[in-house]
Amino acid sequence: MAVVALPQETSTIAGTPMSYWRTVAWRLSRDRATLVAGTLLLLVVLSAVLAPWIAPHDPNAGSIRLRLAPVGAPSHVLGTDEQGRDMLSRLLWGGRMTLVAGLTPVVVAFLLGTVLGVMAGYAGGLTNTLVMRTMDIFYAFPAVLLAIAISGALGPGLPNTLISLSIVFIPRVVRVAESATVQVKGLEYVAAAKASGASVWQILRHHLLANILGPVLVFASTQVSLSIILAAGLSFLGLGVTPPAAEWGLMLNTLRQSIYVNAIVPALPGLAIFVTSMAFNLASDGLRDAMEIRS
Amino acid sequence: MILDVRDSLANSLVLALSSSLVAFGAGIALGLLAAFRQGGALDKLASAIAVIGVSVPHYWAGIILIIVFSVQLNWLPAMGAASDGGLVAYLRHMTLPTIALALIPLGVIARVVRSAALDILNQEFVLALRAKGLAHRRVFTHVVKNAAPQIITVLGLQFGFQLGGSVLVEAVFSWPGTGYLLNLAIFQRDIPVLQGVILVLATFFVLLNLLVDVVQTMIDPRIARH
Amino acid sequence: MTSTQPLLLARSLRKHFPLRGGVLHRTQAWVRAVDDVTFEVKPGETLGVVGESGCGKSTLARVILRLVEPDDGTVWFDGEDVLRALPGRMKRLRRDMQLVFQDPYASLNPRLTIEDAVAFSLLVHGAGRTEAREKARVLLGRVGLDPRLYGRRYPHELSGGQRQRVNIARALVLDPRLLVLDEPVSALDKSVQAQVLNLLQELKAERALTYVFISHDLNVIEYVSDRVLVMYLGQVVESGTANALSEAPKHPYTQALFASAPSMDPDRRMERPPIAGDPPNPINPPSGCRFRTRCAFAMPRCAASPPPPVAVAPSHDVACYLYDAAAIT
Repeated sequence: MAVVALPQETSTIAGTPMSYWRTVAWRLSRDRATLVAGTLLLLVVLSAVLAPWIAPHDPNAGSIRLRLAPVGAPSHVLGTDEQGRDMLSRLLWGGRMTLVAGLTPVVVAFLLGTVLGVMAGYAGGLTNTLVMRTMDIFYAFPAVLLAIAISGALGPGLPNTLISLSIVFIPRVVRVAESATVQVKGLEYVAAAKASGASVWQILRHHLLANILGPVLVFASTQVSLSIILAAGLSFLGLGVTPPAAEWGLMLNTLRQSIYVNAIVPALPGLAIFVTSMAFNLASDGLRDAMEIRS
Repeated sequence: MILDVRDSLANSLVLALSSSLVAFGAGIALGLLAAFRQGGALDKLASAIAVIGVSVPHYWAGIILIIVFSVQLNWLPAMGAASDGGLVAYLRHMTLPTIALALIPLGVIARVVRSAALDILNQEFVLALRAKGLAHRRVFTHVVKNAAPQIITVLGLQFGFQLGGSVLVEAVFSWPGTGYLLNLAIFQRDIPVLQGVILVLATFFVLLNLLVDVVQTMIDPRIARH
Repeated sequence: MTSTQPLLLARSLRKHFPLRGGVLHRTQAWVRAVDDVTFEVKPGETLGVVGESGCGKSTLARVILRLVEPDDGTVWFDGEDVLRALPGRMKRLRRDMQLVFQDPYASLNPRLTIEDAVAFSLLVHGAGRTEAREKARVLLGRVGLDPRLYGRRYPHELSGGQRQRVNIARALVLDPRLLVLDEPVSALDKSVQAQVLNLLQELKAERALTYVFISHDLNVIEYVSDRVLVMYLGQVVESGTANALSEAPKHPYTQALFASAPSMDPDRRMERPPIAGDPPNPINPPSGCRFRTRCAFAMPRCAASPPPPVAVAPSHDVACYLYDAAAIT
């Protein structure tokens, strides 16, 4: 993917030249599907953040008497789980866990991965070989298996999940960052900067970083949905968040046996994961299209 | 323990292979359909299916499939592999897990194929070929040949995903594969089994990646050029 | 002013690139980009370097400026050893020797406004923000881009010719003494080429610059150069004044080059055989004289060893056995 030319048609509004990021924002504002996905995401995130205030019941309080109430039951709009706890409240609180477990590793991978990738890409030679071969070893494993292997070794719990998923995603980001760095490094404006006597640090800061952040950001955004699915998946297996915490994957697991009693309620946590994951995918697709350099 | 691992590996491989057939076949078909009918209703439909496939948590999909086809409709069994029940029973037990496992790769493959095919279709020299009136089938063959390296890479990666990702699907369906074994080992904190299974799988993946690399080098004339 | 002391002196420069291939990335061959190149440039003159693509001109440009470290050879700038300079000294040396690039598209950072792009060099050398921008704007005006109109624009909003002007401004902002221009007008339309070439001539006179002008276009080379270096497959085959070479080229390759140059002049007829064979490949070049496989006058001696440069006139050298009196026996 070239990072050089920008389209002529969107580059000016009323005569003022637009910088690249302004062009991206402008394109996004015109993409209907992405706006919808973005709004959906905002709703999900907001409801997770505001859970303590908008949840109708205590997510951990339940009575066996009320277990597995169906959707639409009195004072339990989305029913109750196998321990009688209100589903809506648990879904709201669960969202916090799932989102944190899903987003944090990607953010960490984005930051660390960019640093490592740029280092490897710019330095070349032995540094590059060392870093990239190490990353290859991790990259060879399918994400699921690697996550399970590391989580299995570390044990359950949120912090361990964050560590294990970060390790899963860092090599992927490093690959993209390194490849983009190598490509930009070969462009003539970098050679021109060198010819002016710029130091490595100055070149990285003014020329390299700005031009590779785009592709790396787009890639990171495409990994979020997978991260959420994996985080919930780990909890589903018992390796992630531990009970009695509310987390969508965990809820899916504990409700699994109940599908013979009530079909809809056990499917709800998974539906939440699905909707969130889809919203992230659509939004990141839109972001990728907006950031694309067309000639 | 070795016997257990061998049997479970066989079961997992069977599941991964059948799921791959579904995912590769449907994924490539969808992707090509979307690319050749770019912008039209079929493209939008195919792309929508692809996005859904990519976004769906496969363990949840498995549960939904069980709810619909086992609990409500009672068409297909939900648990186990019926290894002693004969081929038909085995296949019946394999159906739902196969579909559940195939969804994400289907989506990924469809998207990659669509993108790769579009890249080639939109290149100027293809426009020139079409302008010369080249038959649809020839253009199609040309696109497929040129997109092949990218597609093969993705196929290799997704096959790997299916072997690894089967852990979750096997958990849902109690399918006796390596994932199931892994799951048990995790639960029982049985370290030797855990290590054994991971070692076997790890070796497999390294070899798989190597194979994909070699095939890529052989197919793509640009990379292999002396 | 000691006008005889060359501003730039290059001796026996060599640069080979390894070609890696196959699954294990082993080195399979070497690209002999620059092989035993020696030349000098006097202050105030324009040295034209001409040759087909693949002859090593761009690599030579980068080696001279130490953007690429050569495998062998020396470069002296105003009496100072460039290749041995320590980082601190090298940074100061860079102010004196600048490069104008060929590709107007890849040579500007798409994220920087053009006045920032020009000012960057000054910032690198410690100038303050406002001072650097001021100087940049002045220079943009000098190369024909009104800073009030163009200063805050991004590269993608400019045409190829305008981008080259920015390139020139960027190269000049540090007040260099030597400018190496790597095919500066090759990517431009003919009419724009003329404008940029004239600009370069004006600037050279105004600022007492010395140019090393690289191009594959013979007409351009004839127009701008005082002396010319002809390169083929990484080696210098002939060097002399522009007049001498255009009127009476000695090396068979030079003759073919001038003969095949399109011209509107009906007096310039094709008198010599045009060049035969395919364009050269710098991987594993022919032994001895590299041009022998396409040369109508090749002798057995040409395959044995590469011909050394021989003076056929004051400051006119040819590397060809046809002119080596000792060889013709």
